[in-house]
Amino acid sequence: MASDLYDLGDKPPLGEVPKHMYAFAVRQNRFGQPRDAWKREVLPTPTIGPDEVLVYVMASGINYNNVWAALGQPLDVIAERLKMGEPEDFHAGGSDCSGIVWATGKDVKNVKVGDEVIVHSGWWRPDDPWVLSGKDPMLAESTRIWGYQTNYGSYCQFARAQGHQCIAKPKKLTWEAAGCFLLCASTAYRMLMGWEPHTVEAGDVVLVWGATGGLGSLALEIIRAQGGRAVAVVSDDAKKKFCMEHAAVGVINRSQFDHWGVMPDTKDGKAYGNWAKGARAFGKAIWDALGERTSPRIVFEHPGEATLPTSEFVCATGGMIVICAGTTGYNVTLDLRYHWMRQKRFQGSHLSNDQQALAVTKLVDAGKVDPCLSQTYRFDELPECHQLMLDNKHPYGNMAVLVNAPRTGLGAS
Amino acid sequence: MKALAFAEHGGLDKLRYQDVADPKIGDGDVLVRVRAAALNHLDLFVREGLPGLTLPMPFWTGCDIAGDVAEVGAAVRDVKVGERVAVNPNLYDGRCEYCLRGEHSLCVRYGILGEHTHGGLAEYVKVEARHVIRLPEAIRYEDAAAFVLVNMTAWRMLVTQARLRAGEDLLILGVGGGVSSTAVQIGKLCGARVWVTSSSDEKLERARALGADECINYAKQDWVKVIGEKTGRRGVDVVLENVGAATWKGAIRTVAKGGRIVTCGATSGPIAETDIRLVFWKQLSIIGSTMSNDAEFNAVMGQLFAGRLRAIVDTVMPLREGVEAQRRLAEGKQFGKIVLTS
Repeated sequence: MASDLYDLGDKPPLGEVPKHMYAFAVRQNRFGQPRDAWKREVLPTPTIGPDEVLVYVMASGINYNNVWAALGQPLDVIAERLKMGEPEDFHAGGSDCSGIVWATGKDVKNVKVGDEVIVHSGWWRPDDPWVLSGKDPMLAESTRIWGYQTNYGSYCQFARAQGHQCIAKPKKLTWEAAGCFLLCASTAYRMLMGWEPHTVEAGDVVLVWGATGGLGSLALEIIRAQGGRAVAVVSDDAKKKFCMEHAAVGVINRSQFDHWGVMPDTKDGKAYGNWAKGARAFGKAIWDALGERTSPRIVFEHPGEATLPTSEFVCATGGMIVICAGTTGYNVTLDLRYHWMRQKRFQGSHLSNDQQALAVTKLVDAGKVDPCLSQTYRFDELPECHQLMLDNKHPYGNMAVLVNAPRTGLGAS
Repeated sequence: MKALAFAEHGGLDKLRYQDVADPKIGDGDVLVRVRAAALNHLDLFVREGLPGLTLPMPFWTGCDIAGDVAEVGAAVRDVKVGERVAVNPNLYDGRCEYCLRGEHSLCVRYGILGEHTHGGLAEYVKVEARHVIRLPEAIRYEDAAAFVLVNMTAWRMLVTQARLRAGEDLLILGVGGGVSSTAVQIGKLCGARVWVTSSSDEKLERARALGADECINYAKQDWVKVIGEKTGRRGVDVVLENVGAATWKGAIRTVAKGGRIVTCGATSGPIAETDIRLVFWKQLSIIGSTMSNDAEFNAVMGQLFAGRLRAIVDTVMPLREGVEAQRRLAEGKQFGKIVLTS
């Protein structure tokens, strides 16, 4: 007889969905440090709509958005969803996973029960007129980040996703390697390949900030795969080796400079002069790292406030600064003179659409992009993984936790 | 010959209608007898002096030029004495990586005729033969001169950089300026709904006559709020921005998801405070643009010749009254171009 609740790794018969499941969740009364906010709970297994699937999760990636979810800042995702009429008073998150399709809604055509998949985190309403009109769904009003702005993500034994989010799992990868990379990889791919004409071409120089993080490491990999040349920026010398192993052509330690942060008033000659001196020295460091006087055609930004004025300065004439986050703050001063005289472009980018997630997964499948798995943790270490991330003590690359996979090293064929 | 020249940088008092040496042309050049030259803010900036710009004195500016070919160099084959022409003011080396891909205004040695070399506020100007374009009979010198610089700039901004499409909403901030006012008609030509702002009802009326659909007097109404309400909080697809610091935050708030802000100047100051959350959540493109390449120049001149775009002329004055003309421009009283004839 079917059980109501299965232990982790204890598989129900294929296609049979138990009433309850284990999941890590945050509740509003626990908002705060991730190690306390995330708790393992038994929750009802979610039901699915016609366009949705249930995925038996084998392994999950860890992303910064679920550090925010734990803190309840900058957005209380639970309150947001309650306001929109969803009934759950908890957040069972997780935006990256590998697993097996366990149930499908009647409209799902691209996958069937039993398929091994990974899930990308672009979620949108199927009846959104923007999406129906064939435009890029990542610009639709209804677009959400799955497992952050939506519930029942990859920290559940059974995750609920939309059919279109599923991509065939790269066969050579273990569950943990397959489950750890896609959010960062698809975000980095859209940034580097999604904004014509500023896509990475053979020989292009790309400056990558925060190159040992999940996002930065995948950027290095994608740039190599496209034939570009990445100059990595890190904050200490210990990180240089990792960058060179992931195909950076040069590495700069930014702690050797001190002009970071909001650009001083251009009318304050001395302060502005010092800033400009720092920015010029950083530009020279890029040339030194490359061994030639070529400025980056694309600057891959996510620190924001601390680094953006420098990014604007060092970007090549006619080049692009592309940004997806502001991990050091959001208030940026742009000197528009560089912008128009040198005809530069400042481009915002957010996650990816189906095509971009598929494209980068193909590169991984072909062995051209390494998923940059750093370390794999047990399911119950999930709160600690988020804490490491908040404290900036996480290992280089992408962390994974095992959900139903009983141990590491499984799932590859 | 006569020129509206200055011997040292400074205010209007440095400017004099005076005798200067005639230009000497090389084998690949033509000499143009200037019939009309339009003013730009660039004329004022150069007269006042720009950092890093060292000029042979006496100097005279003028980058919007139309006239007659008076003389051609020995190697010039396809331009003839007596032809009526307008001048493409691009100066570039033709060899750098940007020139080789046709991006002339990105040239590493890019310059503008009348900013980096002696210009058209004179009776004669020396121009490379490849940079004159023949004027059809119906096009007056004054209109051709008034048309060139602002239209090549606005065309590149809207058509190439922002890729403005039929049915989109275009917002033009501060519609009195030369680029902004002509952008109204380019926006309409592209099939966009055009929104404009100004503090002057008179300028808004002029913009409406050029085809502007929605006119907002920002001195009387909060333009960000008005656009938010009238677009159902969606915002506009494209913002043409050359005001800078004073309007930047509003521009970032007003542009729709996936929208484009294209900037070519900053009359209120270049330091733009930006909340980058709006940039990445809305996935905005903020694009810098300056002048145009030769293909864009030819394309937009073609629109003038075909009657699909027209020159917007504020006043026509003789060159010898150029000091007064520059005063009018400096005071910002004009709508459209001030043209000097000789």
